[in-house]
Amino acid sequence: MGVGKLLKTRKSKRMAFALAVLLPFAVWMMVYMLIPLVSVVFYSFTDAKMGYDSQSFVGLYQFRKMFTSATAMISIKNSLKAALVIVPVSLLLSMLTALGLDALSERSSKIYTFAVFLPNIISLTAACLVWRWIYHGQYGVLNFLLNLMGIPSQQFLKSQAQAMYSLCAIHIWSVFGYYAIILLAAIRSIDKSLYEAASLDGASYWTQFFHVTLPMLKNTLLFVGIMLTTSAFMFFTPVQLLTNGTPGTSTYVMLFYIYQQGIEQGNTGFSSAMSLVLMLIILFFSLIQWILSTEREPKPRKKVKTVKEVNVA
Amino acid sequence: MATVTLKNIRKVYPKSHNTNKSNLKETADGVLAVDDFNLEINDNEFIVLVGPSGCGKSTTLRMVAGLEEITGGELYIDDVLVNEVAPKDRDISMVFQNYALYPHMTVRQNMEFPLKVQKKSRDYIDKKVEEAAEILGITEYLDRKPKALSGGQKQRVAIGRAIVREPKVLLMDEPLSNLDAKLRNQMRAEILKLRKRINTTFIYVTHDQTEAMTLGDRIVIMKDGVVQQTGTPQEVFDSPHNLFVAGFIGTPQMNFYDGRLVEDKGRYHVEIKDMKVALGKEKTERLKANGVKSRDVTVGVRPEHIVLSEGENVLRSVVDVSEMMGSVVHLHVNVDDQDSIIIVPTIQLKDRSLVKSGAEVDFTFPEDVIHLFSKETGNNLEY
Ligand SMILES: Nc1ncnc2c1ncn2[C@@H]1O[C@H](COP(=O)(O)OP(=O)(O)OP(=O)(O)O)[C@@H](O)[C@H]1O
Ligand SMILES: [Mg+2]
Repeated sequence: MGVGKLLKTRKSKRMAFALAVLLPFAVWMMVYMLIPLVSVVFYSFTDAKMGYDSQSFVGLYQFRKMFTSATAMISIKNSLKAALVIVPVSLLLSMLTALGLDALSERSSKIYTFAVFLPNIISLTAACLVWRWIYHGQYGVLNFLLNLMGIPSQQFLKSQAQAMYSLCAIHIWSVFGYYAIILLAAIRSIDKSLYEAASLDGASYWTQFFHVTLPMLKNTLLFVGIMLTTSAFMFFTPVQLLTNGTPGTSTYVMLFYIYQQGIEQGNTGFSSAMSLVLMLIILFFSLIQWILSTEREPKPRKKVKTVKEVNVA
Repeated sequence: MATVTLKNIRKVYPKSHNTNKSNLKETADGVLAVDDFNLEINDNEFIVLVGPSGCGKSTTLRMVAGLEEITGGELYIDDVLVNEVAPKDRDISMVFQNYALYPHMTVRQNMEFPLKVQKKSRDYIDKKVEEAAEILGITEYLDRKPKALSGGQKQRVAIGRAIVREPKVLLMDEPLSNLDAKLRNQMRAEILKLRKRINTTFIYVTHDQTEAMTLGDRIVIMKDGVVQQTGTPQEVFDSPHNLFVAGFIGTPQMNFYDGRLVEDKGRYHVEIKDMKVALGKEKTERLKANGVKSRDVTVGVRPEHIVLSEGENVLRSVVDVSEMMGSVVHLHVNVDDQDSIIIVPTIQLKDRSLVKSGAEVDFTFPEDVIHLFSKETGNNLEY
């Protein structure tokens, strides 16, 4: 058997293996991702309603309706606001937590790591019930603490100004630990001798952080940023359980509105159009982060002759 | 440019859970990685710490750098006690075995980093970086990232980053051990050249005795955290103070034989099997001064000092294998089931049949190349 043939059979064997392993995932993708995606796109351009068998093609009608609906626009604004709070604050909090955990001794770091990870294994629904109590206007533990410090009681979930931020806080609490641990793993995998070299060169802790740690974490940070952005726009459970979009429309976020329109009121076409917009928004912000973080090759500051050029000359 | 003084330096590592058996002494607090290290390093000197893996070379170097806390003893740089001084204030730089280059920075940015941290002017930085790049022959790679460089080039950049700052002391921890043999020889020569061009005290760690011998003004040979001998390459080669140093320095290794030192009316001779070698004046004087009496000894002779001989007063051996090295032949021979290596210049090898496996070879050695070691302590009886 020739080498070429051998390679070919080996290659086709590898292909077969890849197919066998990936097939279940591919089916899953089809059923749960591709089909819904295609139908969302499809229904966006129809007047489909739940419970009706037929629908007709209406072009951009649903989108026009959405961009002229005050509530829809508010929900987009609220979602952007939530993302603007959730992403940077979670990122900062996970980063600081990771740095703190990294600085701890191995033993205590294990305990704290578990504590930080805890919100992830508690069901968010159960946690929301606890948060409802924490935020309670009269008996809440948060107000109790504020009062201790001489600050008057706040309304939190019942205040137009505070409700959104109070919900964001719950979301941040539920996700930051997970990302802190991802960042911690990335920090721990950085070669220690880089820090030793830097400290011999006179770099302070923060110089080392900005010139070694941060650049080395770039890929991880991009991943965390994109995941956080996605989760911020998918922010839903606390809204549904604690405020239902109230007070006023101050906690109407896109996903909640989509849920209301699509599931509760059966406006399949409209909610599909809104889902599509949500998807595009998430894609847009993810792309921005990706572009911001992709490497720009530093320009040579002076023209240096390469070996080739020297040889040619 | 600086003097470095290590006085009774000790390092105890807390005992770790993984109970790997080592030869290190243990104290109540942990394992003694370095014990009672004493050394005065002169200005501009090139010191090499050498020893087998785990003997505490890196630990010692890292204590000098300030990367590892000093458990006991005193460390002076230019007569200033620096035990508690932070690494960045010791004016030391270090070249790491794995290069430790910042992967996200170009070669130029890597080399600039120490100067930028010191907030030097742009012109000064450019001048220094280009100078160093010139010395190390890496000018054309200045705008590349480390990942686009070969091992040898990376190590040059690492050295460049270490010298731009003109540190008082330059530390190197096995800088060449990740390179292949050919590149290693080449870089060794370059380090020698570099050394002539910059005024810095060097402390260099290696486990390779050839590197130690060729680079060092003085060599410190360590074993199990304890300094065995300090001296110039010539000194440690000619007068090893104990069996360990004798075996560690020189390739191929020194041959050892069980023998007996006999003292008879102020004169000494050595008996190995049927062979008797009378000792010369110098050795006799030194042994006498130490009050050495008749006793069993380990006799050490370097392969290159053995001479083929005929007649009565010789050691008889049988050739196992012979290795033709070009100008010399290494004969691996068997003396009563004990292995020895004899180096014979090819020129002297008139009788080609000698190098055949199974051939009988008789040899002896001149009296002035014999080293005598105590059977109990392994120490050289002359020193
Ligand atoms: N952080 C540490 N904790 C505990 N023991 C350590 C630590 N670092 C080193 N040791 C032990 O101290 C001893 C000396 O280590 P060191 O790294 O100085 O050896 P070395 O001479 O540099 O060896 P090598 O040639 O392998 O680099 C070893 O036995 C090692 O196991
Ligand atoms: Mg080492």
